[in-house]
Amino acid sequence: MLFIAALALALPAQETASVEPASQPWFKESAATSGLNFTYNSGAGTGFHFPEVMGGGVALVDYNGDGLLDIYLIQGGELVEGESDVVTTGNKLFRNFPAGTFEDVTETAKVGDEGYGMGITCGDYDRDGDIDMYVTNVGPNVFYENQGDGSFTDKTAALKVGDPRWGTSTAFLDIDADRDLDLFVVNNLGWSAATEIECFNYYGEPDYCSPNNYNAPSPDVLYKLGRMGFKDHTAIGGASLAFGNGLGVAVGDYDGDGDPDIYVANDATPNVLWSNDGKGKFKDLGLLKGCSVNGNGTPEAGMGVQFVDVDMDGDLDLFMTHIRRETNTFYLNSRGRYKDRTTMTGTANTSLRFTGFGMGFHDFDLDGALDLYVVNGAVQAWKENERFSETDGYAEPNHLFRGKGGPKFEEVPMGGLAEEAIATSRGAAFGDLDNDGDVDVVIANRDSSVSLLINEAPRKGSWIGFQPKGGKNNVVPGARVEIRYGDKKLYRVADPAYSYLASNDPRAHFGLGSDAEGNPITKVDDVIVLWNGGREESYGPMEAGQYYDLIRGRGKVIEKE
Amino acid sequence: MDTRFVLPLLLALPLGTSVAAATAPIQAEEAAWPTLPDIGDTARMDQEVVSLVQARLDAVRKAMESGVASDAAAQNVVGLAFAELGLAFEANTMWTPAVSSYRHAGVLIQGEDRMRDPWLYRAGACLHAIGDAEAALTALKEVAPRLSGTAIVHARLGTACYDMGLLDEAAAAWQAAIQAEQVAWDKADPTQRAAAPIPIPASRVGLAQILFEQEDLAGAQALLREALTLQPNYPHAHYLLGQIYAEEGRDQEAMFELSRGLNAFPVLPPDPHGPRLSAYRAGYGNRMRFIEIDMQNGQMDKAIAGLEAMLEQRPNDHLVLNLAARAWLMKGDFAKSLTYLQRSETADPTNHQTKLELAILYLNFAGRAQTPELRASHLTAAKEKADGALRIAPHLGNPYYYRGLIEAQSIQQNDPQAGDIMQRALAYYQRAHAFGCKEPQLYEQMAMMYAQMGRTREMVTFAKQNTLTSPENPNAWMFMARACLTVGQGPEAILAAERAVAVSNNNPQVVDFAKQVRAAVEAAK
Repeated sequence: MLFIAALALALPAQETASVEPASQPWFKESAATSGLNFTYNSGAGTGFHFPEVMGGGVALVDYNGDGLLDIYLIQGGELVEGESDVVTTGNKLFRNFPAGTFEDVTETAKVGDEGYGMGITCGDYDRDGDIDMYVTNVGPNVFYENQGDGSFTDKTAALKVGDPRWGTSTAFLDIDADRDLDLFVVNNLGWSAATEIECFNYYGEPDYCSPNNYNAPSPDVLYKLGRMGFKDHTAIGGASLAFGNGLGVAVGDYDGDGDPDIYVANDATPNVLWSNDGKGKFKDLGLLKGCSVNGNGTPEAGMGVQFVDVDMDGDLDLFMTHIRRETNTFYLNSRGRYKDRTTMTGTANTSLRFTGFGMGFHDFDLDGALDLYVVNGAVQAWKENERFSETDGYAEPNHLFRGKGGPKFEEVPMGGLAEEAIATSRGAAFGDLDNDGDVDVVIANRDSSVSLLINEAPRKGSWIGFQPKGGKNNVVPGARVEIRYGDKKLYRVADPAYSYLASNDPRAHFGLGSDAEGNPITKVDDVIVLWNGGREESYGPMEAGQYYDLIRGRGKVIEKE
Repeated sequence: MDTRFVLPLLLALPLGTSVAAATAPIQAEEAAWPTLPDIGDTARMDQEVVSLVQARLDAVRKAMESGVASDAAAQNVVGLAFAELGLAFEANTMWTPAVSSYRHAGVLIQGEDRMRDPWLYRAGACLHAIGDAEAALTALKEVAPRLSGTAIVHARLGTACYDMGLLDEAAAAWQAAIQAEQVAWDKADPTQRAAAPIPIPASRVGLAQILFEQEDLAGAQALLREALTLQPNYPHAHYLLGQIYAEEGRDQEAMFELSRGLNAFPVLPPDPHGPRLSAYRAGYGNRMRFIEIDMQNGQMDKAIAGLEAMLEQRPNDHLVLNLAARAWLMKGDFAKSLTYLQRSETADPTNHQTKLELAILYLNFAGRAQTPELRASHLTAAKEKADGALRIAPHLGNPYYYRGLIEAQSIQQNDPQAGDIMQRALAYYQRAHAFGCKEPQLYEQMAMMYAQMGRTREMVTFAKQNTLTSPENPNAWMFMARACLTVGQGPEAILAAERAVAVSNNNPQVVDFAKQVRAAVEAAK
């Protein structure tokens, strides 16, 4: 690929975004006061080593089964010995206490891997009722098996899942409805210090390269879990024929055929939509389904990604974050085919100037409409006289967009905070940390302290939440949850795999809004779950304002017509 | 092709920055020159760019010192100096100060609008490059009516309108661009027409994109067919056509067109300031980037001249040496190519890419060798270099690919070792594939290997993959046709042969091949 000067940036048509007048903040920065003390060290020093500008990740995981989401933060380190003065401290696990405080339990839990960390996925792979973790690195990945007693065991070698390449986002999923959790690992590019390249930004200053400068995309890996452990299923499953500089992954049933499909966001190379045949074999339909590249046929950056039903029609749309001079992209799912409809969202023009990474659609203010939070941070430094931060040339503000119903949004000032936060943000995980019914955000910032944004948005209605389970204690990802109340139908996928380098709250959360008189909705009329494999069950009416476990087999089966 | 200098376009206007202040007309009573653009700390910038930009800044200062701000003649001189400054900034992708400079030029230059409008247009173009669609639209809307004869102005306006969701206005702008292109073509002399395939289809495709969004599929298709008549291999047109076919449920045809349009980078009509911008381009990164473009466009002599100029200042820069070697290789002068690569390897013995380039060169030597002994000698040298590259970069796919190619090339006629060598070659190709090699020939090589080994299922898989990665290559489709014939997939074979004919522009040999395929399928029934 060559650089071509004066590109015609043909962007999809967009609405002009309006910015809501300043009002009460939606989030409160609470990391320092809660004891969540962590700084992601990229190890950036005298060289510009590409992985330094891409990490780190974050997971929200209830590791001890006490009903509260704990926080696991991925650490970087030093890629080339002696080039920086960073002291590698390893990943950290912070236990969430009911008082809203966090305590470092890494040592007890034995999860302080000191590899150059990137992303993570969480799931109960062995169906023993506790959540295990898989951590990706620049170098061998690590599998932590939860022992159920507050500690983990490194089972990487035993399970043969220590892929040595540069892993980024990753996801547990059941590819063939056999109730086992399989594992998909996205790899970025073939990188080593010995093959690093010297690059320059547009002012001719030394800076990080573009991924295509390396011409070394790395294939992803699909592990299938069987009776004898994990096996590399990539070639057999058809997942070896398309790959790029992988960064993001989202799992969802885009065609509604009852099995999970996989979308891989590749950086500056075409994205991949792995369409599942239900038996664990995949075909790349990204190009045909219109979500491989933008509307011009041009590959874009591709970092954070999510399958989500934005227009509330029951199918999964796609949203992805991109680099400066590319809008973040919204692909509307129209009868199983995607169309770039970014400009209808009202977010395009705002996103053009920034480099987006982690993201999440959630109803933060419980008004019944999905909102959008995007975290930003540059990959090449802003010029000194144009920077947002005097100390960090890559730092940018984050963005909060309030949903207006369907795929239309308007920007909330200051990223929803009382004081705008400027940082080089990367991974972002979303979840209800305090179980108060609204969604909070944890953000990993490059060479800066972690952000813990506790939701304090003015509530515009009520809420309800669900945890689909395969058995009494066995959390299963990928179920689609539908709620019906009045004439409304809302859909969510209960899956932690979305955003960037993140593992999110595995529950499905819904804001319900209020009725015509302004009273919060008090109950939903029906809850329907579409399980992996196509089984659909109804769980009947439920009261708003709490979380429910939905156990497979305990609902009323809905027969297909 | 070494593609080192692909960099994302990055500049953006910081929040809150206003260029309005720079555009207020100077009133006689104000009598103050505008402020020069701030380029910040230059210590880490490319110093060649810094020198060039400083020279232009000095020229503006000198012009300001030579006259008073209230004097029209002085304003004109300063305005023209700002215009040159803007070109210097823009040529070196410093768009923010370029906008400011052009705006000052647009205010200060005296006389008719046509003296100022080109600079106001350039300000709009730079705002577009920055990513400020709204500001770009405002700027372009102002000047477009007065620059009706310049296609690029309307094309850019069309893009800016599209960015902002103004589809009807975008359509009108693209129509104006088409008309301007036609007028320019009609007026062009034979030399100009030979130099560039005008009318360039860009504006037709831009309009087709809007019709597609407005769900006028028939209208969009008609324009795309027109565009492809003008330029059969225009990727953007193929991609859009593919989207239309997909919308209509014509999946096979859609995939064919979509794959031909993948990695499209839409271009605009020619820029009248192109040569002047080119003259201002400076700096290591910029020079290398445009040298690569020259090489891709087959302009080897121009590229070599540029590389030699760079080597005068950087005699041991292995990137420049490698690119020079590649240029000479593409020109067919292998000996010269070898000289540069040997210099590069001496300058940096740890660079895996240099070793790989040497391996490729020795492979080329082997292909031209007059005797088996010479051929063997070159292949041995190629093997040594490829192994050297692998020692440095065992995690990369490309070295494995070329190592496999070397093995495959070492098979001699009636070679009793052929089977073993083939297995080794295939093993290298498989590693190349596993490690992410994206060389277009890899899938073809793997398909051929599997074919020779009688592994037909893999042969078809990789033959198909070959057509997806090289959709414009008739050989890829012809191989696919043969592969399908081998496994008894008659209709697929015919389709592949037809595709080969289409992408070869009805090459007689390919047409003949397609006839043979049809005949073979008929005979098999």
